Amino acid sequence: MHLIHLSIRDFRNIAHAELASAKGVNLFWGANAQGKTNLLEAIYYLITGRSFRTRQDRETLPWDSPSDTVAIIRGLVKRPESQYEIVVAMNRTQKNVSCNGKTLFSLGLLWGKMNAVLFTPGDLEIVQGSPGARRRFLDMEGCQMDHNYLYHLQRYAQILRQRNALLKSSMDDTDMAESLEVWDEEMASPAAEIYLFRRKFIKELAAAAGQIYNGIADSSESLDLGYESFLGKNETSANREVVEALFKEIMRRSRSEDMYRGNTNAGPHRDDFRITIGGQDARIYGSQGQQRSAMIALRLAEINLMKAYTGLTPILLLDDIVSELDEKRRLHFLSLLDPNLQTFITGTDADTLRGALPVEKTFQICNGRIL
Amino acid sequence: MLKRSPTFESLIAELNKLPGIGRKSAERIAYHFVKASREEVMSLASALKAVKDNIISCSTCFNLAEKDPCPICEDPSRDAAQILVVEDAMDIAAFERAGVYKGRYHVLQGRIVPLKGITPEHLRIRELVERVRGGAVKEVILATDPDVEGDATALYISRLLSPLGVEITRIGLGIPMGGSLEYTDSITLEKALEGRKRF
Ligand SMILES: Nc1ncnc2c1ncn2[C@@H]1O[C@H](COP(=O)(O)OP(=O)(O)OP(=O)(O)O)[C@@H](O)[C@H]1O
Ligand SMILES: [Mg+2]
Ligand SMILES: [Zn+2]
Repeated sequence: MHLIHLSIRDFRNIAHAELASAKGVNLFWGANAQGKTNLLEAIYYLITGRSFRTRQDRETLPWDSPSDTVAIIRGLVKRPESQYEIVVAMNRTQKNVSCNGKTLFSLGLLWGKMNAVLFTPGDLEIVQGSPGARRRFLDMEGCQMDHNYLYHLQRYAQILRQRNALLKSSMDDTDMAESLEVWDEEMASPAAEIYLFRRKFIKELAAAAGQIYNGIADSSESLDLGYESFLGKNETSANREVVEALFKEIMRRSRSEDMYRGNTNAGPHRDDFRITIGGQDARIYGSQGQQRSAMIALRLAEINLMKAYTGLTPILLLDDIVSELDEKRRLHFLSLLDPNLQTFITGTDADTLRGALPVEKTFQICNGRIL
Repeated sequence: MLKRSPTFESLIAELNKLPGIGRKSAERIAYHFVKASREEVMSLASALKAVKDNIISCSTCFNLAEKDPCPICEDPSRDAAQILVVEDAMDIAAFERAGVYKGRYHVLQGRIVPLKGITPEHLRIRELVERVRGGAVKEVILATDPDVEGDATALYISRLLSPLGVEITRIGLGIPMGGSLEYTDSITLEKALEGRKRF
């Protein structure tokens, strides 16, 4: 699967750009603040319908553009047996995503048409940041890997909103407890599905990333991941009914606190996973270098899992990642990339990248234009 | 230019409140009334008034009808041992069109939506429990929409009814996920009814 043509209009600092990309490695090269990351962001929109830099689509419209401006990102995708065109069009209030001219009514319909694995300097948040950053990572991956996961996640989120509204309402305690029973019962099924997916996924990710880490970090310490779910750190049941029952039990136990706070305090929406290096929490004790290597190992592992889960080879989007690593790690990292995957990489130093990667096409980016 | 006329503007505003009528359509309909004959407009006005004067909800099943009890509750050929529970009266129309159901109905007049402040007390759930307590009912079929709120509503009702010893079933099979009964065709409804599951 390849993106063979990209055209952009009125997106960030890009008034208009068009390019025919190579099936191998494509390099976006130019000085700082010229629009290289903006191009990757546009490609990411075609694959996920969203940005990796903001949740506010309107921020991507060119500053000082008229209020009726529409950003249009168009991509031609070639798969072995078919070819299709994805179009993302956004103005300040709306977004429309279509495939071959037909509007896709939910982003779920877009996901899975193409897959991407993205490396950005912002990834370090996943290792260093709050549980929310790791959950977003899990959910973004999960949704690309497995459509059912998206369904359960949406259902869970919807029930959670209703449950929280109920907790904030002025119902008397017995009536509320009675209603909560119902929502908890309903919530148990998506909660268990989310748990089972995350549990399996984290285990597979840990196995793949652990191996890769030893290669890039050239140390004997091992990288590991541990799911910290609403069931606790050590719960290992993989039986759906058991998990549902445990979930309901947890909800029952935290009910009085939930009612007191007007909010749901336990559940998959509070999950996290721990990244350890040599048994120590990487978030707290990892050096900058170790944290970077861990993150890169996670992303590289993701490539393998993506292939295994979806049967599709993903497109790689590498933003500035190379500048984050020292010479030795950089060469090693680049040597781990499969040059048969379609890759879009940005950098300010074209020669170094060309020396390390079989770059097929180079696009020089200057002031929002491709020269 | 009519645009500035307060009379005309208020008509547009009223039409704009109707389901499925946006500002543009509201303007188009308003122009239509301005140009239409007096008779045509008056006949619509009296039809609207008649709706409010004559249509009431049945005090047994809360279906919409011109008399109380409604024709379905009064029809001796309809099986009083079966009650099919729906969110609104519109859903009854769908089952009646399909002609596949021979029991009675119960209209909840909504579903449980905490986010909109709709709790069980706002619905005709207590009345349903009373009907079942009455004794003649053997099966309650829950046909709320198969989505998050519809499922929660069905679950809530089934918990209330299960101590009463009636059979409780849920239909959902064949109805598109997250779909609404109103837009479901007859064959699908028939399948759904056949495939109902014990709660
Ligand atoms: N909504 C917007 N409208 C107009 N310009 C924008 C908008 N958002 C960002 N920019 C500008 O786009 C320019 C290029 O941004 P981009 O992040 O793509 O740079 P880059 O080439 O990746 O640089 P670096 O090498 O520093 O990462 C920046 O100067 C930024 O100010
Ligand atoms: Mg950049
Ligand atoms: Zn009736």
